[in-house]
Amino acid sequence: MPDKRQQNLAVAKRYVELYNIDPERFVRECYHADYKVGVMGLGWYDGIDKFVEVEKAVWNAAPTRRMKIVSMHATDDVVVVEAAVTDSSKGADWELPFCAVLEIRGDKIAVDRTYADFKTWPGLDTVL
Amino acid sequence: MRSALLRCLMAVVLSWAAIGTSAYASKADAKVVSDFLDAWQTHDVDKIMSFVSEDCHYENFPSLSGDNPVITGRDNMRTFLAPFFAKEPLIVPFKFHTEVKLVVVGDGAVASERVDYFEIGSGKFALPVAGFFKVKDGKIVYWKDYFDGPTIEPITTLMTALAKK
Repeated sequence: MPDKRQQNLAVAKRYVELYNIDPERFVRECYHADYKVGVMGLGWYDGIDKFVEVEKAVWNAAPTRRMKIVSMHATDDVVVVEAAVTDSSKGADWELPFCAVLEIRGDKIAVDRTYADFKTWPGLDTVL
Repeated sequence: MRSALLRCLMAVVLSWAAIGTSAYASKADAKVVSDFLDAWQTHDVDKIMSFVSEDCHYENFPSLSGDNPVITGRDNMRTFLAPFFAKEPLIVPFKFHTEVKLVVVGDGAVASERVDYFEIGSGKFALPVAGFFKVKDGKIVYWKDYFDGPTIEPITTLMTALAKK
């Protein structure tokens, strides 16, 4: 596999790893300052500080939410992550499948388009 | 639409050529998916269903068909999808078309992004969707769609309301 794709996969793996342990590092280490995130169907947002605020609020509202990878598909510019959010507070079997299309620039995410049934995303109701 | 699809397909072909590993889906798989999505523009259910295998596994998140989002088998898929393309009689007349934004050849699967457009009466709705496909022997054997539930609720609510009139 070409190096570019390996690098992009590494970015996506860090995106999952940091989502599960530290919301501020997740945002600051994974996303460019001029990132755009599409909550597909609901709208778009940008601004690093606002993003950190949102992810911290989600973390505080749902501290047991975690992301697990189902599959990842990399090209030279994009990684498509098929994943699920779990939340042990909702039960061992509860999970929300979702898909994130991550446009990678260098070693960070420039554009994130996430597809999911957001009304059931743990903690998101506290910020939307 | 067609030129955009061709550009996507060309990008897929070039991407695949650069990968060249057996773990990845093939350019032929990507073409099956692109042709399948393109076929939706024809509103020909027979043609659309000709791309899927008899035992195709179809998951529609969030479920549009009750608690179980999994539909198994071409006949059941056809029953679920046919109303999108029926001409007459339709309980609720609506127009539907889909626009493909991205097709990615991935690790054992083909991923895509598209927007499904609905026109119901005077209402126009757009539903962004991410889809995953697996292809075997030239047929789609696995199809899973991801989209936002609240985004599609106005569509289903309006259709239900009109159907009750």
